[in-house]
Amino acid sequence: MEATQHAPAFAHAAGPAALPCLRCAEPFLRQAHLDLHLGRAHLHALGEAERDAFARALAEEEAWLAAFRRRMRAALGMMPAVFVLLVSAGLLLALDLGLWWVFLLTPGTLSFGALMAYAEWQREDA
Amino acid sequence: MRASALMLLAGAALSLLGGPAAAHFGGLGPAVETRLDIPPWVVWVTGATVVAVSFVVVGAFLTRADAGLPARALASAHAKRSPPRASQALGLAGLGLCILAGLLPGAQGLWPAAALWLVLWAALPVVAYTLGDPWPRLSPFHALAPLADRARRGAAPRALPSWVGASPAVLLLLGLVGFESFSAAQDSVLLGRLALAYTLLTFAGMARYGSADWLAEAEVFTRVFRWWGAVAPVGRDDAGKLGWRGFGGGLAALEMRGWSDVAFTVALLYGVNYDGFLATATGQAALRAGAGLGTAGAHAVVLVAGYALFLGAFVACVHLVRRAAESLAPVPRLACAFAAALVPIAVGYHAAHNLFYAWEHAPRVLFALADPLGLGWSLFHVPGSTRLPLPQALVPVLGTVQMLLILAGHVLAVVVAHRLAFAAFPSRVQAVRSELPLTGAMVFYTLVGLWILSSAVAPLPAPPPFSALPGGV
Repeated sequence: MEATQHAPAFAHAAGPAALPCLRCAEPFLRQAHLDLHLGRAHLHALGEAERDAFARALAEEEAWLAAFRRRMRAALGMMPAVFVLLVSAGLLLALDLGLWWVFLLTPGTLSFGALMAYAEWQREDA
Repeated sequence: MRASALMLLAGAALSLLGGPAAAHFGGLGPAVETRLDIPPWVVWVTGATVVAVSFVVVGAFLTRADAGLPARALASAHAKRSPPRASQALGLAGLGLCILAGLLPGAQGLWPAAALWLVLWAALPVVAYTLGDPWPRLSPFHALAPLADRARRGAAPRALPSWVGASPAVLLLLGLVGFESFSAAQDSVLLGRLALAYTLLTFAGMARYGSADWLAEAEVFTRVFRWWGAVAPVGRDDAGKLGWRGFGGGLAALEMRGWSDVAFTVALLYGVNYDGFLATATGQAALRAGAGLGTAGAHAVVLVAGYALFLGAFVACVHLVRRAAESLAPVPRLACAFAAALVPIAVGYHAAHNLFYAWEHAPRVLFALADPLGLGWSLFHVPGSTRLPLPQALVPVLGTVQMLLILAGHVLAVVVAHRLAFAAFPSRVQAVRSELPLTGAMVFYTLVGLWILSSAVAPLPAPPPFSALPGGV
């Protein structure tokens, strides 16, 4: 890149509650964020206690992400059922058959969606 | 790749929904009518749903990899390659013909309009975001760079003030976007004189601040094509080796160093929406409301107000990102970290607006070149018509294809935002939380874009370029 190498000069506006990184002064609001920053940005300069804290924060982060993935998979599992209901409602409206017919479809479709969501929720990460 | 394919399939499936009604597509499209027979609300709901679903899919499948260290160093290989001089001579010849058209008495050639609106504005960006940035190989300004550097007679170039950044490129890009909607945008004499003025400005900038800095920071075409080229699925790595990197693979390496870079990226996105907005009832009403300021004044106010809305939406989104991620990182840094996610959206809009337009009007470039100055020359025989018809199979589904292009851009933007978020924060939890406001912003831009496409009620305020050509629009 031929560009001028102007270094970004963004001032931090951290309050007194901030936890600053002692190596680069980057402030963080939570200890876990600081531990992860230390591990990801200064890994080779860390002492044993900091490495342990990084490993703990990493494990907590992975647990949170695993739960998040389960929720997202459950939402995806539910989606075909919602899609079927929406298409049905659209067809009923387009054919002028009355929207109330959709109530007949709702219990079965939503039960199927809930079952799919539950199966996805139970499934372990591949 | 699996997640991206799933999302595109979902978009394709959802876009087939809908009953008979009338949502028509405006913009600077081909002369064939691109009508999509579905209600506008289905278009909007579909677009917003696809973007939101893409967030869920990204969350379910793409949150495993460790974020690792922040984004890699700026790509430097791009500029280290010495572009071939022969191809730059072509660009120089094209620029020379444009300038001649502005200076020669009696010249009324079609080349300046064809070069600017068909080649630079419509066709070359398609090449850039599919095959890579072609501009350094064609740029006449790169060809003039050694001459400008020699004009300092050995003196060191002045440092371009850091506060300037991309500001000249932002102003020039917005000026170009505004200028496109005037009928004067086809005036070869005016275009030729503007080309001369811009060449002199660029030469002076390169001579004063050094060609490397000026071309990288302030020269608008270099910036525009670098931004488009960052989306191309093929590119060179830091070692200069050409390889597959996936769509949007170069976006993390785009140089975002301050607000002006963010403003430029938003201007790129806004620029591809602006002409379509003018064709909506709201755009027409806005122009009428500002009629007291004169035509140019009303256009300028609408242009700046719309741009301020787009920029404001992005800045508000960055504040929400900072809050959602519980981050103390400065807002400008986060804005720089996420601005590149807007580029795929701009690519989607650009492709939808310009791909078929460039296809259909491509022969006009040859006609313009055969008599570039309008002096009655026939430098070579151009066979066939001034239009290249679209394949018949494509015509009935053109509106659907346009919408799919837009949605594909938005889905890619969600994936890119995900990658950028993982590089911007030390914690992946922060990254995932930050994506909620970003997805909200994507939904906003999706709705605006689809609303523009489905709400065109009037022809463009000025005839599209080339209406003056034989067989014109």
